[in-house]
Amino acid sequence: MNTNLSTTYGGLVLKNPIVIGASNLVTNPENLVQLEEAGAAAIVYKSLFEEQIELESFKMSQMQEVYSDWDSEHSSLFPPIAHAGPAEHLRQLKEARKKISIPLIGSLNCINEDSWLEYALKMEDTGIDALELNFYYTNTDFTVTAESIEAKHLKTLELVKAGVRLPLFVKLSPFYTNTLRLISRMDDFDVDGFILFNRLFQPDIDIEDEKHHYPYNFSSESDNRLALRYAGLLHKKISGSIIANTGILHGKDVVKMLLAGADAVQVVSAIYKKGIQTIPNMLQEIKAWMHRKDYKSIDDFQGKLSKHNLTDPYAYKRAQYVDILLNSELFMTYHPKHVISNPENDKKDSKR
Amino acid sequence: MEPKYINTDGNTAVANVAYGLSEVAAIYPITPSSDMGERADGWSAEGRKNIFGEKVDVVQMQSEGGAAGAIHGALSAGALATTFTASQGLLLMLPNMFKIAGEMLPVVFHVSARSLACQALSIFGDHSDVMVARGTGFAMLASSNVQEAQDMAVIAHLSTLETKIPFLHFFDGFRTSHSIQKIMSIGYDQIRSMLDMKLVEDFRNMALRPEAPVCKVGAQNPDVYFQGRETVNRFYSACPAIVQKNMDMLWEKTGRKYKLYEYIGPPDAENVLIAIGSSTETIEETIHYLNKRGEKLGLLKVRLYRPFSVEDFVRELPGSVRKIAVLDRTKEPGSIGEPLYLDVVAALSNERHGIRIIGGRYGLSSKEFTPSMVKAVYDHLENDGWHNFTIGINDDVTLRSIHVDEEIDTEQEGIVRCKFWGYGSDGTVSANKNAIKIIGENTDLFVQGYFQYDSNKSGGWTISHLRFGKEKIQSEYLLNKTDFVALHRPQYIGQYDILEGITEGGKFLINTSQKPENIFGLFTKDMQDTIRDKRIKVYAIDASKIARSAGLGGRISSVMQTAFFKVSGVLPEQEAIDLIKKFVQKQFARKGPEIVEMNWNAIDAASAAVIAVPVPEEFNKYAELSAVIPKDSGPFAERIVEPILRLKGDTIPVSYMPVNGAIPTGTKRLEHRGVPGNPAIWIEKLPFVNEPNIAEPYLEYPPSCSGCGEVPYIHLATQLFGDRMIIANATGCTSIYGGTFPLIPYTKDKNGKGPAWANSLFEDNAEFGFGMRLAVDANRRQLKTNIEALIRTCGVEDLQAALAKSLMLFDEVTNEAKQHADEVKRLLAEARKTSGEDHVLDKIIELQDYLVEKSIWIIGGDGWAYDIGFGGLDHVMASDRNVNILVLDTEVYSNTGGQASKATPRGAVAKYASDGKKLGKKNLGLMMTTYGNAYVASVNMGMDREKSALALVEAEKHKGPSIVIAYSPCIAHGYDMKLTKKQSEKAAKCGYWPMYRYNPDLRKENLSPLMWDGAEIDTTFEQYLEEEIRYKTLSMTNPEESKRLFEKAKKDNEARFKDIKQLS
Repeated sequence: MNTNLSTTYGGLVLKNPIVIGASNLVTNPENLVQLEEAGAAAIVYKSLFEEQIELESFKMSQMQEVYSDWDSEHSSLFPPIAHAGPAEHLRQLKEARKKISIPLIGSLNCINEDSWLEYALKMEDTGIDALELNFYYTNTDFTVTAESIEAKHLKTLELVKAGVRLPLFVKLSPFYTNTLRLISRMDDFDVDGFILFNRLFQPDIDIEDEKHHYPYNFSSESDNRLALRYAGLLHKKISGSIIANTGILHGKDVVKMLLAGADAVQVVSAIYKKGIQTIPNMLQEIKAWMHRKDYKSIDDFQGKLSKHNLTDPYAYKRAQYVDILLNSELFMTYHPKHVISNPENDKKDSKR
Repeated sequence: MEPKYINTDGNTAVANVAYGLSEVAAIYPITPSSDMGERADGWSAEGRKNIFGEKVDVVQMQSEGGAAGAIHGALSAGALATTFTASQGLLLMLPNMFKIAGEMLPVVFHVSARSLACQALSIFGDHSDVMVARGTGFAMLASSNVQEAQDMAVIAHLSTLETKIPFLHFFDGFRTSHSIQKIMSIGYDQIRSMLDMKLVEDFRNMALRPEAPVCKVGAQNPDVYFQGRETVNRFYSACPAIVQKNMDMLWEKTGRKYKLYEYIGPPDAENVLIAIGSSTETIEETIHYLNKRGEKLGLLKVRLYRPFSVEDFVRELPGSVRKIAVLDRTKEPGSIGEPLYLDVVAALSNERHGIRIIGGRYGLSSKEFTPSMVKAVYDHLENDGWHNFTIGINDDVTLRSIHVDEEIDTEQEGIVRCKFWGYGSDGTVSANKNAIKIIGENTDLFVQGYFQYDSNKSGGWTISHLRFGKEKIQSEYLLNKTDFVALHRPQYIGQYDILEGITEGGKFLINTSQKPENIFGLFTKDMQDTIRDKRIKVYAIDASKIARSAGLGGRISSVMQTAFFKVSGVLPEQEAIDLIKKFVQKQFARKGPEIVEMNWNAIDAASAAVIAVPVPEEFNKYAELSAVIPKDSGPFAERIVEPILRLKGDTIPVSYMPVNGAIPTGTKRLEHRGVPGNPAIWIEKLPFVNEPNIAEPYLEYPPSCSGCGEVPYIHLATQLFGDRMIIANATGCTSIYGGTFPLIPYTKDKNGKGPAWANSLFEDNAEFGFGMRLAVDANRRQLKTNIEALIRTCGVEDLQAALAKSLMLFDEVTNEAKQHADEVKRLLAEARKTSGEDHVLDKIIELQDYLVEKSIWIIGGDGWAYDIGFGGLDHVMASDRNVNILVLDTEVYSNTGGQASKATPRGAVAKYASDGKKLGKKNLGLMMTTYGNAYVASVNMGMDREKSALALVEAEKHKGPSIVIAYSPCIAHGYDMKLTKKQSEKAAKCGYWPMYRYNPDLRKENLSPLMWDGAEIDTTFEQYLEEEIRYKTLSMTNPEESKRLFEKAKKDNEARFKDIKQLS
């Protein structure tokens, strides 16, 4: 049977729903080729972090000034040249674009309002196919209001949208007072898609050293529930594509996301953990499931378990949570493989 | 249009104008003009446009001579050109300047006027250089402050196009070039509005081109040359009026009025001073003060010095004038008077009668010229004092100096004068530059900042002189009165006169971790008395502690800056703190709010941590004056070294100074309690080193940058050959830390022998050392002839035998030969006692120091060897004379501040190579092997010091010319200098720095002349590059170009290795 895995990703048509998320996997250009060969439908290039550039440029000017004003003959020792800002990233992006034929998506993470458009335009010039904006707000200030944070995001979005012709995606954190409303407001700007969600910077504490440390955390399967739930809530409620992210390690995770209503997924940790070979494996697993279920294309089942398509009034409601608590012994017998074989279990577990 | 104020130094202000009005700039670094070229190069690299909408083509040449030649060519072929220089650089341009003027080519040379190298070089300011250029035919226009430097730069560029006469625009080195002042800027639009584009067309129409072929003749004969010289007269006659017209246009556009010659003072003044440059500001300030006290004193400022317009000059001078003192900032030994004096005398000889005119010298090498000195000159004039006087020094030999009787404070009311004692690397100067910026840009106050540095390259003192006033500041001299003193380094107490000149009720801020009640006890008795007598308010802050806790590391400067803002009273406290915060926010806003907040917290913490120090009426504890030299060190140490180490060198009288610049070696030790430094004892074990003296060093405590990669080679060479070594040292870092008055790091051994050292110039060092070789050879030849003669005639057997043996040992440099030479000397002295008239014996005694062969070492950096001195080096290497050249290759002009040389490798970022050096490093070693007769080595001490020593020994042994090219890590490479050994190893192991010895003598034995000392390649080029800022910078500023250049650089390395290996 011919199984059609193609899907849409905003304005892009993808050969399958597996997109490689932004990561350092792309630092080695050879990986790009291998990812394409392994079957990835698109690649999000590692993020351009303005903060990192600013820090690097700050350090560079400090390096240049170390020997300044030491003696009469040299008030400086290096020419007063400025850091090139994102030039190195753009150069890599340009080279990456040449390496592969599947869509290449840029990812941008700025800290200053006026930088978003400036950097976005420069990225657009590299020939990428789409751009992902990372909205990210770490709470450290007790006085900032939710509205002001959201207003800032929306203003940025409006600016970039007005200036850039590329399909535009937004990747945001789940931690807003009402994430749905924010996504919906962003959707009004014709965003091409939303990536659910950005993983936040969360330092750990080493109890022996009694110090913070910053481990590199790969996502695990249980991390995908939040995206799963939001995909379900957003399906058919917004015009932009829904892309699930985090904890997508197997083909079955992709299927879950598609059932909930996602259009595609982004994968990173799976590749770090299991290598590039995991992509064909996942694709094979999806195909096998579709074959078993007699689905010919993703359209056949996408969003089947979204809130939009479910008649159960309690689905996606707090009642589910109460239900879980009341039936907590179920956890003891929970096994992920039931998720695919028994959607009922999944329903019960969709909000932890 | 609202005038726009900016804070800028003179060099930047001038470079901005020159850039705007030029199409081509050919440049070469020389202090204090280098900044102008660097600015232009930087702007060009970032694509800035001149007033014609084009980027200026800024090109570094191999010398100032080269720059002038390139300018001449550019002008001939039709491009508007400019250059920047000073001192010896200007001297190297002179031949071309005559040509340029002779050919009526319009151009402006901007010169930050500097002393010439005479008994010694000096990087500081006077008019010795520009006065030498007065016969070139260039018009000469002078500026007296930063504002004028900018404005006169415009006038010069406009006027040269119209007059067809080239212009030399000059301003005082350091005093104007490096002083930061608040000025009204001039925009390119404004400049464009003043330029008649028709003049540019006229210039372009003269361009050499085949479409309008002419021949600029090469030669004229006696029949016409003279007439040809006289053709230019009318242009010079017309020039002053054109310059004045342009000054008037500038006045109309900007409101700033200038005259060719400008009289200041009452119309009925009888006594007038005439001067050029920044001194005229100080004189003006002084006569404002004195005339308010009832005097009637005048000043005539000279701006257009050439062509000298007698008509304009005389018109400006009031008819009442009876006495004139002309002040020249230069010296012409043996002249009737200095140039300006002679011009004034000539100008007035037919125009005014009955005026007494005297001339005097002041301010050589940035010597202070203060209002009190100005007054002394007026007093001298009033009292019919003598001509040919000097002011500012104590000439107790020829008694030409005049005495300053009265100290006056002429500065404007409400001026706040702040002096900061800092430490080389502590950031004090940078922080003060920021302080000036903050206050200058955000308030109506006028500002001035001037910075002094120790000549030690690391760890020296810095003194910042800051002025803040409601009116324009004309005080072009160091602070001699201070309202605020900050001591960032408490260790200076007892050595320097920290509170010198502090005013009544002044403020003193000290950085100390002591408890408030103990702080007063840290001061010397003098300081305590000053604090009590002048009711000084004392404040303290523990800056290191606050800097650490605020996450600022060891840089205390921003903490001290806040404390300064809080207590100095320049601005109300809260306003001041708000301003720094605003500045910090502007500076760091893009780095994210956290960084701003961190800095704000540091500012608040610093502000809160300033404490008032109690000043007790009675206190029995105080600090003693610290000894700066050991006791009983002799007259040189006591009369000269001690005052200089206490920063009182200005008080040293002429009689104490050496006549020819020569002083004893081994004086650097005085600063180290007289304790000798460390000898390079490791050479003792080397099998190829013959009987070395390792008991004592011949080089100790050189005040180089710590970690300097040059010093180990000199240390080694002196240890190997010190007792018979003569060093010719090119100007550069090595000459500054090796030969700065009065602390000399070269030493003598217990026999009184040690390296004899001299520095001629930058460009001529190979020839200079070569000349030394000729002298030694001549003296030895003569000695030998006379010894042979004496052996024949001498009746004393012992002496005869000893002389015969000395001939056998004549070419030996063993200890036996040295000891025998001493024995011969003893016998000669004895023979002298008993012998009657004997010219041969006398001649041998005269030349007896040449019994032992000398080791001639020509030492310098890559700027000399690869660029400016290459012609001479090449010539010397092509000779058959026994000289040894040691090239300390830092791959950059280190001493002038990191400009690229032909030794700079591809891809490295340096000044004049902001976008990475485009071409590969010159393979000097390979080139030198082509002569066949030269010994050539490339060494790397950090990788293999034994092979480095072997190369020096072989080079010395080789009877012809030798060159040793030494890999020398430098702060300009941009990494922690503690890691030089590791980085040197990487340089060898990544295939960057080839290590080899090429000895042509081996050919005679049918052996391969090449001995390859290279290490196994086990490191990547990238691993070498990643450590150094000079390379890292490019990957951050132009990643694409960096990738391209580093790929090529890798190939350069391969080629360098291959080319050398082929020699085997």
